[in-house]
Amino acid sequence: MSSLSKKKFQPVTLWTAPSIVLLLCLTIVPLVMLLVFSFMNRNIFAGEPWPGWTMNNLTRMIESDTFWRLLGKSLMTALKVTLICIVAAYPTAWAIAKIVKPKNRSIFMMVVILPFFTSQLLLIYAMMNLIQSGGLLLTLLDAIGFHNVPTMLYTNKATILILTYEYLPYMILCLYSSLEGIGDNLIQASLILGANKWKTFTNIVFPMSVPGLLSGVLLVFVPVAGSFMEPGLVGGANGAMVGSMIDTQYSGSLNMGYGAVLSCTLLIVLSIIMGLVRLATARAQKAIGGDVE
Amino acid sequence: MNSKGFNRAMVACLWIVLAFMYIPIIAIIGMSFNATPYGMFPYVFTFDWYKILFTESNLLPACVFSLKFAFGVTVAAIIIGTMASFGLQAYSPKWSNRLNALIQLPIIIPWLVTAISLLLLFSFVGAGRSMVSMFFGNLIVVLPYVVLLVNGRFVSMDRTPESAARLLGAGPARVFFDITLPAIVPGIMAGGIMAMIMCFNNFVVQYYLIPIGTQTLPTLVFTRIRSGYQADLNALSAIIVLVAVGIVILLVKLGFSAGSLFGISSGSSSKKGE
Amino acid sequence: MKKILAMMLALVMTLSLAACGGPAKNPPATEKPGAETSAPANEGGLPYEGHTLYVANWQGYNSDQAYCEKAFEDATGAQVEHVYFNSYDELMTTLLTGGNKTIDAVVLSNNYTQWFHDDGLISDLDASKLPNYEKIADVYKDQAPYAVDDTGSLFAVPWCNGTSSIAYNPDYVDFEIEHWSDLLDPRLKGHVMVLNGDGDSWVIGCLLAGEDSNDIENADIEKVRASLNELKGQLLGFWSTNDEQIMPWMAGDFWAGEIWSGPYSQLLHDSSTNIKLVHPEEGTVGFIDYWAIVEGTDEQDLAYEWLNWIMSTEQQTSMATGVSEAYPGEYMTYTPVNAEVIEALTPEQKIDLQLDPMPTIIKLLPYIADPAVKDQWVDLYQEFVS
Repeated sequence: MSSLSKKKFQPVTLWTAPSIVLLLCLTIVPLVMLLVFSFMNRNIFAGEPWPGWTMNNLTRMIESDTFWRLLGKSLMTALKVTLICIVAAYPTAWAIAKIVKPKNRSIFMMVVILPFFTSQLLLIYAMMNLIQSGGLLLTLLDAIGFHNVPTMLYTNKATILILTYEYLPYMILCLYSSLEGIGDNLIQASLILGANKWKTFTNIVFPMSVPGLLSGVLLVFVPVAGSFMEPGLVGGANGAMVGSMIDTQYSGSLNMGYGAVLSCTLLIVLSIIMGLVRLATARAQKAIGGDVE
Repeated sequence: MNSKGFNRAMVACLWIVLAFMYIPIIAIIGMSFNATPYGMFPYVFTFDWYKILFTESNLLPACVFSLKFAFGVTVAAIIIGTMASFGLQAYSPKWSNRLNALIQLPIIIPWLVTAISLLLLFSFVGAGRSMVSMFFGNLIVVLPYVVLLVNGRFVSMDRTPESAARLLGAGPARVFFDITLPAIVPGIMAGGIMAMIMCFNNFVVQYYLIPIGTQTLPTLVFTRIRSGYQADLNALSAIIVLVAVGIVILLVKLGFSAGSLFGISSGSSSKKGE
Repeated sequence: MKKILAMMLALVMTLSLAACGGPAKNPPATEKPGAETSAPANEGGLPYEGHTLYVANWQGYNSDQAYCEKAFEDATGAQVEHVYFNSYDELMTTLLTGGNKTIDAVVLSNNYTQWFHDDGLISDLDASKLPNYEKIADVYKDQAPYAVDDTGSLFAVPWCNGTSSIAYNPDYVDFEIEHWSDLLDPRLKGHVMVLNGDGDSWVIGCLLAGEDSNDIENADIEKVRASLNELKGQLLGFWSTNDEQIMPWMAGDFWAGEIWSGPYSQLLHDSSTNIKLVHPEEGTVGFIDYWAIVEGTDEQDLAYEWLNWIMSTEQQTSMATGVSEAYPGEYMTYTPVNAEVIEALTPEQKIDLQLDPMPTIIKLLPYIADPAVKDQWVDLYQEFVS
């Protein structure tokens, strides 16, 4: 791979040291602490004596219906948002990658990523203004004859809408980068050789878009499942998600130990799910017949 | 016919998605000139919110602070990340991949968990919520992306000039600064821009680690959305969006083509470094 | 993954210049946050010239207004820096991890004072250094356990207080609401809002269930749970800020529920909407906000000045009426604790401050000292809001 890499020790390898040290100190150590502090009684601060060990946090979590309900809800919300994003992003990415004139592609992609350059929170605020009662959307609906439509703000639908709004560009980017890589001649060859459209899609297009799809799912599902700010702002009475519950342990009823065990569980569950998704896609890819990448 | 219909449906979908993405943005620009509060009607034209934004509002100072902070983190991330990328090239492919996987670990951890575990760590060592904590918190979040992007550049670049220079007697430092560094500049730029954007926008990590009394743009906007209607938020969004749009138009006019923009991506994707 | 990121980057690259460069290009109209323009106009001779007092409070909560902060600066020569927090937990984390070095005085609600005191974060107060403490109305003075500990020492001084009673909009609600249980009426389904806060949920739950929130450690939590579940079915949502009450109210989504006095008075004076306030006879939710001095502050004398200042008749009048002659502006109003000031309020001002009709029974937000009991109630709250 590299002509510089030989067996003997090279001082250049030390250049990775700062990154490795940072990673150990700021990722590995904190994660271990998260696990250890899950068994800690309440809070720990520098200079204070160790508050003692306890299994309470764990049992409290296991017995908490609220936690499991919220965890389920977060995962369902993440699933819904991810699916909506895929359904909306696939045709969009396809249109940009394959239908739009090549010289316009970069313009369209710029338009898609433009929101990244504004503050996410300002965008959420914009969307909230739009959908509230008395806001632009309902005023327009009222004007064209739909009166007294209830606002969706402060419902779970609003949470899903806002999260979709926030993460859709990621999915489009990921899918676009995969679809763009599929040669037009490949598709044409398949069609000429007699494969019908569906077959071309399942055998060529879909398998080749799987890496992008997978990155997209990763970039959408994980943050959505851990979100707490969006449901807090727009979710209303039934809006809370598991992230909100974790947040409360650090901003409402200071209990670091309990918060740690909740975050740990969330992380483990998410890792398992993403591992399964990876496995499943690998299988599906093989089954469909594509062995790409 | 069938194919045409299919294409039309796809393009229609594209426009619907773009409308979904842009209607709130257009609406907020419109509302930044509306005197009736809460984004409601009747629509009364005014410039007052812009006056407020540029005189008494605390949004601009927070925005400037966020930019400075993001810049600081970005510089650190570029230096450390580029060093790591460079060092990684010297490992055997097996170890290089392993270390790379380790460095990319933070990407798959939700920011909420990252932020909370860091808050535990910093509370434990006594730093608590402080500027130092927030700096390192953001650094660790953006560092993997810098390494990833600079790596991409290393993988796709031609390494023969370096060997040639060595054979011709150039020292390692000379080779690095005269040949390697210029060659990976696009990757560094890319990593830096990514870091800058992520850091400018990262609400979660800043929310948990920011020292009280300091506000970055994301945390301030969060507080402001919750604490009261102030249309200078609209005015600021409008300005940010319009400046971004203006530059996109400028770039297109200057003849930036898709090819020149995608140069990096096709380069790195053609040679798989996984 | 790599490829995708590279792709994103390539795209992002050109634009980022736009985003990063954009706002920076605008004239930096305001100074950066830290570099305040202190008023060097002060002639020398003021007692605290050159001193800086760091006070922690919620943003926009009265003490950072000109009539309070600026007036104090002009009177003492000291500079006041407000440090804003988003939650008491955040404040606590900061103080516990060494924030003591910067923050001199803090605002605390009555359900947090003991917690901070028990953790040694706020210091005992010497009432003799606070002449204005004498002026505090008896109901708010020496409140144990909120401001006075078992040994009788004072550790916090009251500043303002409030009730969060029931308000409803007669335009939408065609019957009289008199009790908390009226919020459970099916006609209100989907249009009730309450504050998203543990203390408020506990008190309202107790009021609905007929339990005593003042003795919450012995209340029947299961009965409270059942009541809150019932209430939850009625809710449009929770609010936690002024705007989250005003926006849905103006929009006609929020018909009845808990309301703070600030938004109440704002809505009362808005001709485009209608509002009616009820203090249920079984009791209403109340809070007292205190100021306390951070343990180990190096500006102790100045902090005492500040505490004394915020209790003064002049300050409390401006706070209660929203009017300041020396520092004109549009200010929110808050219910005062200074007896002279309460006495002097006009009938209209009393209506604005939810003092007319007078609440009969006020249930203060509870503090639960026993961690195990607290965990149960926190879980209940969590269940309610999720």
